[in-house]
Amino acid sequence: MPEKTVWIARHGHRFDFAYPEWFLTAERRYDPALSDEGFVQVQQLATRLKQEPIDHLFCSPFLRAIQTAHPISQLLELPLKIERGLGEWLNPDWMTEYPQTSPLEELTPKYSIDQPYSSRLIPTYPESESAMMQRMASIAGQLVTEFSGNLLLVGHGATVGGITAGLMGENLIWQAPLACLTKIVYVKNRWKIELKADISHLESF
Amino acid sequence: MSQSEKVGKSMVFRDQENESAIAKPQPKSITLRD
Repeated sequence: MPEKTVWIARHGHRFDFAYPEWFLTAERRYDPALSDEGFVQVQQLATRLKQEPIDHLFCSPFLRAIQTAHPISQLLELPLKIERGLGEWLNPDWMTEYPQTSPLEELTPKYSIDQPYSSRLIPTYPESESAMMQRMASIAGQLVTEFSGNLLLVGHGATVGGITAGLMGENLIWQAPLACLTKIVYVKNRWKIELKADISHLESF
Repeated sequence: MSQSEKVGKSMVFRDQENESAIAKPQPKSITLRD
């Protein structure tokens, strides 16, 4: 495989963490948007990535991840490839049913979606820890093999940890802050972490 | 993998209500609902 860079970003701050009562009446209660604070964070993330040579932008189907990827999509002029394989860990301790996400017809008027793209991997609920880690390793391997050039994957804490562990072939787990950025490069026939859950692009406000 | 390691990973990967912008004070209690 030629040299390649894989960026992994976690979504910004959630609306339901700013307004917890939202959960009680939400149509899709496990799919909150970003909070005002989150929108500021993801704009700073997009500015950080503006000059980077990224060829494909993949995103979890959850709204907070799509809204995180959106300003990056605009700045880099890349459509969003919605990949369910990058979605949240379907942990039954976290959610009581399969989490519904926005249908494509709701997303396409607001975001630049790569409509011909279809998810390479569909997770099932409930999902064990080992199944989630295996899913992340599988989708990481599939995407880096199938798509040439540099990739940006936008998702969740489990996406950051699972994709990194999958590419590195090690069970590397660490805390990934909101709107953080991880950079992994493939050079001289091996993967190397160059940036680990970095948040230096975020400014306090 | 041990049970404690599994719990640890679930805690690490879970969105937490007390997560916020950097440089903000931490709340006194942490609620774990996602």
